Amino acid sequence: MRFSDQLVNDGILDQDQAQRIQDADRLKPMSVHWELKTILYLGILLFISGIGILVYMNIDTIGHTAIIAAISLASAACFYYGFKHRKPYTHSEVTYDSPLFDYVVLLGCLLFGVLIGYLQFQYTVFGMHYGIATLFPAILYLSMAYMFDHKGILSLGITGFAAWAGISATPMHLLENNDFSSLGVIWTAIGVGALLAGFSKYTELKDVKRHFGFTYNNFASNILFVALLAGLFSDGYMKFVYFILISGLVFYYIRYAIAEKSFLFLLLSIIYGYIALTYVFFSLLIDIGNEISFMLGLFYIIASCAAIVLFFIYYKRILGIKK
Amino acid sequence: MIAYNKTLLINMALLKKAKQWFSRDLITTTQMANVLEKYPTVYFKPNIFIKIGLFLFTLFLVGAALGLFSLFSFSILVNNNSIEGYSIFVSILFGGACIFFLEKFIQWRNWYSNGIDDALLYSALSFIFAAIAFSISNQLNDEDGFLLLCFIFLPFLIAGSVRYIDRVVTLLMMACIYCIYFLLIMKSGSIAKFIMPFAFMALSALFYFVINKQMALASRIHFSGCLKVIKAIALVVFYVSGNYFVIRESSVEFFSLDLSEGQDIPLALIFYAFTAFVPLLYLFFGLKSKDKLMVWVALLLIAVSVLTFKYYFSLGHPEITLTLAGIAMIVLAYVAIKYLVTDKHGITFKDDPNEDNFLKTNAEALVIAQSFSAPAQSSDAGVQMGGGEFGGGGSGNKF
Repeated sequence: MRFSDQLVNDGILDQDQAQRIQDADRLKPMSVHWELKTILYLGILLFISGIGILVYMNIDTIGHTAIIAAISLASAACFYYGFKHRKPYTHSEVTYDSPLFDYVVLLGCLLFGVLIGYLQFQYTVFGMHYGIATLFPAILYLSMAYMFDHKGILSLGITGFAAWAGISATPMHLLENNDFSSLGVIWTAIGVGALLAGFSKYTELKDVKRHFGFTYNNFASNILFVALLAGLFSDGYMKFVYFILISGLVFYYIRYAIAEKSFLFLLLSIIYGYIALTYVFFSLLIDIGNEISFMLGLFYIIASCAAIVLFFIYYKRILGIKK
Repeated sequence: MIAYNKTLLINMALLKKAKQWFSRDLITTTQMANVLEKYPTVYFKPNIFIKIGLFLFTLFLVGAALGLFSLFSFSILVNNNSIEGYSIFVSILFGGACIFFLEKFIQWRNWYSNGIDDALLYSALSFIFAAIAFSISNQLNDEDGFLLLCFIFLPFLIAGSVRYIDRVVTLLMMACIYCIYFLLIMKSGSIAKFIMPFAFMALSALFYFVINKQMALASRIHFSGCLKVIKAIALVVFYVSGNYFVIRESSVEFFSLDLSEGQDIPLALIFYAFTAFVPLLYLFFGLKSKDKLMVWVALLLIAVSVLTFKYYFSLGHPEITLTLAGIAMIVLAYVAIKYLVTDKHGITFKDDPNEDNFLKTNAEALVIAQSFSAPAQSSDAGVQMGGGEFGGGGSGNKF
């Protein structure tokens, strides 16, 4: 039996309306919104990768001026389009009716990035100041992100900024590309993360582009947690400090998750916090180091996992949130 | 047959429909309120991230319980030659326990798909698989042993996917069925290499048409997720069994076909045509019958076909291919978006209003960062502090 008929039986719908609903369902057009956007996005991804390699391979040949001219023109065209269709800046979220706007602006920014990289490589326009060569596009991305209200460009700006500081902030490469055995890297990462989280909190209080909060905090939380854990794992008298800092961060992000209803942060805090707690617990066990300590460890895992499962089930009641 | 509370499942499906109607102004607020009152869906349905957390920590819990139990019982129950029997015993015990708790939780708490039940189901099936593998371990070193393993495991997979309407188990079930099918055909000897592609196409086509029939039945509504999985797999396997690359490489791999320079497989032209046109046919029929699943499969397979042709007819300039392919896709998407701004042939570019957009927009930003971001500049700030052990020693064996 169809649901609409069932609702007629219940007296919630009348026959006419059920008929109309069935017709509407049958005639409803299929939306290919995300399919086309995915193709568009993948197209930009392939195009930029291709252009990047093309520039790199032709860097010494006669053709490079032409390629550079083409890239500059394309980038300029994208920005021209962007500025022409731009809506005036406000502190709240700005949405664009044209689905293409976001992608054109993104393409413009990416092409600009390729261009800067090329100019630095070929003509060393920024001289020996490599820092500026990374910082300049990052600042440009960040300002473009606010100007065009674009979370993707914001992410580019954040990773660019972190790269300038010497941290690879890309989610997948966070562990791979960073040498967290160095204390300098750890404290740089903590600085970058704290700055991002603090800036996000500040803009949130000032009510400026609140919807950027997720992007800022996603980078900030991962960088901070990983850096602090790295600090905790490295030998030293600072262990206790790192553990306190992690606990504070877990507390901060659980509160943030609840306030913003952004449960990714609840999950992240619990997982990172659990790793820290388990590490500390096992370090103590190893220090004791007799036969029952291994068994104690297993008991600890069982009890703690059960506790976390219960926490996830009853977190609303535990944290005193109403539905 | 289904472990979960059927009323709850029906109410959930109905509520989902009603919400769609409500968002399209087909029913009034009062009617929506009536529906909500008449069809309550009071149960524990956590947010996706909490679900992931529950899933992970339930798995850790099962693992730790296994460790603790083994620690106590190993020295008591095992003497020199009973390790195998002990492993079978522990697997069956834990598989049974997982199923017991799964069933009880579903009964007591009305749980449905909240991460814990998934974790318990997958653990149970893993334990059952281990028990089977341990009990036939002395035969496992040849193809017949593997066939036997699949045969014994299949009923459990079928039962799991039907009783707990789980899509992952359905996927495993299909893989198991195709494995058995492949090994049985291989047994037919020298004729196998001629019939293999066509046999796979036939089975997949059969699956496809049977599933399409089943999906139309109202009584199968609970299984729609699983049926979709089977349908997608049938479509993909049908294509793969005629894909030129697969035919050529598997002929070399399994049937020791010897291809010297300039030689081609038999019926090469047909398989080339198959590789080229089947995804396009999928796309056409998917759009025509408004079948989202088929459209996605088609898009994926078009990419696979392009890669297949690239593999054999490479121009030697990947950067130009990349750039041109990128331009082609941008232009194609641009034209299609412009064309579909107003609805054409029952297809539209307008977004479905009843889908949750938060995850999509934010996920997009992350993907952009992942694919385009600048590499970190090498920091000169590092006085190397010795003795740091990160990763392996720190977090490796804690779970």
